[in-house]
Amino acid sequence: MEHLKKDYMNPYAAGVLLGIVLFSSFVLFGHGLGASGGVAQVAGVVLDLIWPAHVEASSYYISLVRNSEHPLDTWLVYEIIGVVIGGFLSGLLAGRVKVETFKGPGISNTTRWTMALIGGAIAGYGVRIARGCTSSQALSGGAILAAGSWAFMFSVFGGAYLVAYFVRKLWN
Amino acid sequence: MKLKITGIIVALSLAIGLNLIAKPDLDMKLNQLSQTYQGILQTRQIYIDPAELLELMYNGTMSYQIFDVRDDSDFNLFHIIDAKKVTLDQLKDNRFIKTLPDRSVIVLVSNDETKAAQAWKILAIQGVSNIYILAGGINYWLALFDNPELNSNPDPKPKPEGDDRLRHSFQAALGQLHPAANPDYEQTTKRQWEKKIIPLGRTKSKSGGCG
Amino acid sequence: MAPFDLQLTLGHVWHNISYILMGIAFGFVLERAGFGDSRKLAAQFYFRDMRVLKVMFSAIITAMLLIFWSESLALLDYTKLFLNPTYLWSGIVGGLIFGVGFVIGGYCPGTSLVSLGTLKLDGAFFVLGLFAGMFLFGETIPLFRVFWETAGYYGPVSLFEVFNVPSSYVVCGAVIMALAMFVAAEKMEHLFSTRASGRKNP
Repeated sequence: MEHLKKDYMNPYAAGVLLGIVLFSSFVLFGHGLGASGGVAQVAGVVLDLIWPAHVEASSYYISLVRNSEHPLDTWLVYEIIGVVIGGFLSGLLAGRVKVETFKGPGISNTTRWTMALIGGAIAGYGVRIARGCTSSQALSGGAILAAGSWAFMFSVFGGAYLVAYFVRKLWN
Repeated sequence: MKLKITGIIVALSLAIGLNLIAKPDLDMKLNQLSQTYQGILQTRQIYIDPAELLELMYNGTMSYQIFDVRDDSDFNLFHIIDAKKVTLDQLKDNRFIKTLPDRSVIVLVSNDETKAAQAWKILAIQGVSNIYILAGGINYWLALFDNPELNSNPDPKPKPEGDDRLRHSFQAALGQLHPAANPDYEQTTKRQWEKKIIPLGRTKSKSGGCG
Repeated sequence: MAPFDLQLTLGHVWHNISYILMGIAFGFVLERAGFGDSRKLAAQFYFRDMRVLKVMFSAIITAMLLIFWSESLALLDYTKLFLNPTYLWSGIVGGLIFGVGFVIGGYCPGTSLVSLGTLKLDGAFFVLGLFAGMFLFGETIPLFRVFWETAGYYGPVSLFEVFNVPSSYVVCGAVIMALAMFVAAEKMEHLFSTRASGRKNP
């Protein structure tokens, strides 16, 4: 079945295409793309549903989800909905939509899932500190030459490369 | 491989080429948008009545700044209380724009309206919001508030077509110590005037990122 | 002149729909690039597949050239664009931590959503992890609130302002740096894939 899957696009071509999408966002909306902010918004709203007292006790959560009547009515939330759909559509057209787990050859599914969870938690913590992720800071901030975004970008590569050796069993 | 070399050459040319073409400066941009701005100014929607400015000063709920763009000499003779003296050159400076508070009404003042209108365009093109012009300028302000009982003209009007010179004479340069610099609140109700200032809303455009 | 105020012209509903459409375009291209696959993303950090670097920097310099050329031709007003505020230390610390999570989890927030879209379980777990991590942030932020809000805060400042040079110099420098990195990346891929398998990767 592997050979029926279409190859991924040439990375440079994909990059140029992504750059055009990014540019169009600036032209149409006056700002770039984003992802982590939308996830943070959803996370905050979910927390507000199950533990509202906790939200009320924290100025951070209040500023996140109690500032407006419809905390999910932000561009980031709509955009991340689109990202999931877009990923699905592209995968569908290329025969890549399938319930499976991507992992390194030497580990089990369960290990991969646990590591994805842990990695996600660490990443989630980090993106909130940095006020952005690769989409909003590295790509968008990078393209318009925001100083903090470039510092962030290099730090991301730095952090990843530093730890890569220690987790190589996950991928190789 | 050929494609990659072409790509590298295109990217480099565009990058280096950027250095060679002239960047549009403020004056060039102003020229481009002059018609649009003329249209906006002609609707008079951003010209506020002196009584509205007076009310703003007494109100206390809306943050505001008065930028007086006249010459030093006129400013020293008389200016509205708490007005700040700025030059058009200062307004063109990006660093000055960055010091402006986010949510604040700005009122531009000249003797009539001409210089204030220029200042308005300069601020508008740099993306500043909530900018208004004092209709009739200082001349109109003084005609209304400088000792109204003794005023020869019972129904003064703003003079947009005026030559922007101060048409009032003073015994001494009192600046903002002149009584008309800080008129009584009751002056806001003595005449009919139209409210133009739009309340400051949430500046949604500020949040463009994930933070 | 761009950027336009779409909220005014489109009205609320269509404004939101346009964001969904933009997201679709974004997710689509990411999946095309292979970023819905954590193995491809992680391979970057073992020099086997430098895809992440190639896509990211191609995207950045493409958008950058388009933005600054549009500005020079007076088609786009750069001052109206959202410039990410610089919180220098938060950015560096957060970036380092995020990088660690990236190589362990194999995704970043955007790509995990793409992975979720193609029904990958590891992507789904990563997204759940994001929720957990963000919750943990909410719990611990009172401890370092002041740092988070003030350390290295310079407001929205661009690289060319920092170095006090015309923006075109920085664009030029960034493009040259990116091209140099591409050349280096190709070399490293060749080196690490032939070394690893003894022959060229298929």
